[in-house]
Amino acid sequence: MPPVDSTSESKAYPGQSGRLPRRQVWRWFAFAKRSLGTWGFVLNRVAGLGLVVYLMLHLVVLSLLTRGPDGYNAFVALAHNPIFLLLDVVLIAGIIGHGLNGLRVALIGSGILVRWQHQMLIVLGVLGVVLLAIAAFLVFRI
Amino acid sequence: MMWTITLKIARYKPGEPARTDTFQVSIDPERTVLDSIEKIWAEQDRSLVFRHACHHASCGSCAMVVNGVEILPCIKLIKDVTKPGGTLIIEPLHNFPVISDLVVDMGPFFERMQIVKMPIVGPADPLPNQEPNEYNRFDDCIECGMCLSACPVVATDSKYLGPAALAAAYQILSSGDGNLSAQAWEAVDGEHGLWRCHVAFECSAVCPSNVDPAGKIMALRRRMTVERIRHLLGLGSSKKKREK
Ligand code: SF4
Repeated sequence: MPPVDSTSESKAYPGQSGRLPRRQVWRWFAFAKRSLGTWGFVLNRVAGLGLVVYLMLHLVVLSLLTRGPDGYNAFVALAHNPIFLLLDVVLIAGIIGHGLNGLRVALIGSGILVRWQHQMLIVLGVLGVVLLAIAAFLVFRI
Repeated sequence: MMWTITLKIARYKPGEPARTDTFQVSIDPERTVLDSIEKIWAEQDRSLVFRHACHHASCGSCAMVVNGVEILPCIKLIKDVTKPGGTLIIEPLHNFPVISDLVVDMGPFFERMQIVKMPIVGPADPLPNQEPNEYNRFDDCIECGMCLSACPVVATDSKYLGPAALAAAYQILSSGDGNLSAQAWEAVDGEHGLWRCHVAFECSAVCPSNVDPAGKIMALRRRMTVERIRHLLGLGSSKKKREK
């Protein structure tokens, strides 16, 4: 019997084929309604993936060395552009976020301070913001 | 006082394309989300499939996802999840195959519990040759599956043993001279076992029964870490005990 007082729209939900899709990577990032712990999980995933991408770019930039001083120096001059400096700050944010949260995850994952995992995330988050502000100041001052 | 609210319910019937149906209900906000779904079933659409039994959070069978978070709709009041004129988006549990509409196949959950010998389902009466405690249940856990649905690791590793089974393993190990079978150890300490957890703690956040599965996984890890360090230092390991 069709719904009486209802409207219907077509929409696919994972699993609604009666079978599960093998991987639902997007669920890693569905954190909006989730608890603080999941926000920490997402932070580490995003920062970790970002750092991998940075490492790749870094290797590409280093490969400019093989083209001699001219190629590399031209890039270094470009890197002083404010947009590049802003990207440096984003990179530092990723390192601080991943590093501090990684410390928290390592402690909790070893069964240490498990009950304080939320509080740790908040304290380390505040510490991270302070460190990032100092780093941003130094990056733009130099 | 009655509120008129909108429920957008995920629908699926085998062989048909998935869809979302939108219903409006007029309901007392002191009633539960399950009441609103039952009202739709009674007054608007008898083909709506959902599961429930006890109506008081002891069977765990009605678990579903409402507005992006796993809940037991039998104890969640309308006024706690929406406002007058508000909308509830209702989906079946994630990370389980859907049988129809809001009902998922709980097989993957029970298979996991079976691995650690917390089979959940046992005969009602003792069988003649049944060992004592052979059909042990995992205390506190109501087998709702909400932890598996909320876990981001299960979303990408369907073989991950998952929160409830790992918490059950911890309980077995913590109870007197309790020990796990070789097969259970392999699953608990293996590639898809307790080291797979990435500390999102969402299982504990949604667990309606205070099992705190994430806390138990961490306690299990601590135990395993200490055991490994002792082994490295030549202070003996519990390998022998494991094979007991
Ligand atoms: S551990 Fe909690 S969330 Fe998981 S099945 Fe048991 S009662 Fe449900």
